[in-house]
Amino acid sequence: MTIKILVSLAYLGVVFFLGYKGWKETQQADDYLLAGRRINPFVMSMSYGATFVSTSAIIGFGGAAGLFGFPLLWLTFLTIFVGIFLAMIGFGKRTRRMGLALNCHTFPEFLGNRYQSRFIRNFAGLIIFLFIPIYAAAVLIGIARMMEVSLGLNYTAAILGITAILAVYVITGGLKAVMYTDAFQGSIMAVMMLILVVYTYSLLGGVTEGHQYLTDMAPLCPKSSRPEACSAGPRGQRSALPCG
Amino acid sequence: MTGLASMEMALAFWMSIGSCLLCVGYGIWKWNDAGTPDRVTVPVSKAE
Repeated sequence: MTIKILVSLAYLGVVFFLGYKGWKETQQADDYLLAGRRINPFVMSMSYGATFVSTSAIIGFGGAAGLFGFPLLWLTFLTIFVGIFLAMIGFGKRTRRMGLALNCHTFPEFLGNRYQSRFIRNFAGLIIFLFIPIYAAAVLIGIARMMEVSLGLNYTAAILGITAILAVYVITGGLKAVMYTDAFQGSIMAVMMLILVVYTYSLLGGVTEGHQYLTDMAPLCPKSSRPEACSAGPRGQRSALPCG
Repeated sequence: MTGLASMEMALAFWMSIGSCLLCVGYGIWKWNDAGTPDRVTVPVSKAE
């Protein structure tokens, strides 16, 4: 427990330092809203990863993977190839140039200026205003539950404390603070997930052996009146299993 | 097929890893490549 607390305090110390660094480097609106339109590629990629791979991805999709099994990997492949690779290469530069030409600082402003429509701008802003807090709440719940289980903290105190910490560095430091802290958190996540994958497969005796154990569990798949149910998850662990 | 029961799953598994390596490789190849300068004109649609 002592080690957990010390590590947690060290983590918070780094987060506060990076938030302070972001605050010091924020001088104008472009810095606050767009990180000066220029950020280190490693920071951007880790920040993107940390933002995308949030509580919903690790815990939520972890649960979905337990339910649907390996077929969920198609979602992973399309997310990486289409949602990241093709999107960044095909649309990244164009989006940046349009943003510069239109001199916009937010996505609703970008849409509104591009299509010269106040309605589009306001509607996009309203959608973000309504639904981002819900998403953020899900992420904060995940963090608070983790702290409740790991450190024995009261759930309400944990969620209020985390929210306060986030509010401090996001409001004062803007996008630079957010990206620096995200990059730190994303780096930790990348390393730990790699360790988790390697450790899990090594416990199972290797990649092929691990998958074979899963294949051997196929008879445990519950029978269903829907033939397609056997091809997904537990609802079946792999695809194309014979039903019945 | 690394122990997976079907070709489709092995395909999804290896394509996920492959696309990840593609992203990393492309990023290393184009590291800090600013590309062409930011000078564009954007056709703006008629105002409402």
